[in-house]
Amino acid sequence: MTGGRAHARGVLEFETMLQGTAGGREALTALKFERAEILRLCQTDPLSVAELSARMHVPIGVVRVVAADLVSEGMLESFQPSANVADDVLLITRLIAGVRSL
Amino acid sequence: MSVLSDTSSRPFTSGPIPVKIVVAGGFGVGKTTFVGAISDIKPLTTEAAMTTYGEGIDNRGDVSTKTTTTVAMDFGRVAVDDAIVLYLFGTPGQDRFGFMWNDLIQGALGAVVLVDSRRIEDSFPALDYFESRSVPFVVAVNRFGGQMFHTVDEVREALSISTHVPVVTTDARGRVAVKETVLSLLDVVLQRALAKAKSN
Repeated sequence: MTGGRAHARGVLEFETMLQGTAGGREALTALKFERAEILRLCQTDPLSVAELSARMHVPIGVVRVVAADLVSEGMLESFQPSANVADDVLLITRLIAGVRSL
Repeated sequence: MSVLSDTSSRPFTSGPIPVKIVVAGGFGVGKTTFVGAISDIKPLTTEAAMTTYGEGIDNRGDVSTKTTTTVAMDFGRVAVDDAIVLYLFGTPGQDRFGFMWNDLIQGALGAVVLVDSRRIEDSFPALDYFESRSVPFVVAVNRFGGQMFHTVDEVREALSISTHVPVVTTDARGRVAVKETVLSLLDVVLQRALAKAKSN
C-alpha cells in the first residue's frame, strides 16, 4: 500500500491533497494573499490543489507553486500516492471494492 | 510522543490517498455530466495552462505550432473509503487540436474516453493520445439516456480500437452507469498491474 506524504518539495499534482500543519496555523496571521488563503482553506480538512484553485479562482499553476513553497516551509502537509500508483495492486483492489459499494 | 505530532486534529489516521482518473472525449460529449453523476460535490471548474500543438484541421502549413492557452477544466471528487479520494478530471473541450495534457495525465490511473455515437470521430484525438502514451483506458459510448446511432462494434471499427481496449455503453447522467464505466476502467488498470507484478 502506498500513500502518505509526498516529497517535501517538488511538483504537486492536481489531485495532491494539502492540509495545514500546526506551524502553518501559527504563521497564518503573518501571511498574505494566496499563501494565507491556501492555509485558511485547508486548515480543517485536506483539500486538493485543484479544489484550492477552483475555490480561490486562481489558475492551478499558481496554486501549485505557492502551495509547494508552503509545503517546503513546513506549513502544509501534502498527501499523494507514490509515482507508481498504477502498479499498486493492493491500492487498486481497495479502490475497486470502494467504488463498487458506492 | 513528538511535540510536532498533531494527529488528534486530523480526520485521517494515515492521511488521505488521492487518486485520479481522466474523462476525455469530444466537445459536448457529456464529460462534465459524467463527472457530476458520481461526484460527491457539484463539479468544480479550475483554470489551467495547457500546451497545445496545432495540427490536422487547423494546420496553417507550419510543421508544429506550439501555443500555451488557458483552458477551463471541470472535476469532481468521490470519497471512496476512509482514506481513498477519487478525483475525476474532465479534459478541456478544445479537441480540434492535438494536445499535450502531460500535467493532467501525470499520476493518473487511467482514462475514460467518452464517445457520442452521432459524432464518433470527435473522440479520436483523445483515444489516439492515450493509446500512444500507453495510458490504460476504456471507450464508453454515451447513450444520452436514449438511442445509439451506432453499435459498439461499429464504434470499435470506426475508431480502429484495439481488441484489448474495452468498449462499453454508458449513460453520463446515470450514477449506476457511470459507476460501472469507472469499474470497467479500474479492471483494466488492475489487470495491467497484476500482469506487471507477475512479470517482475
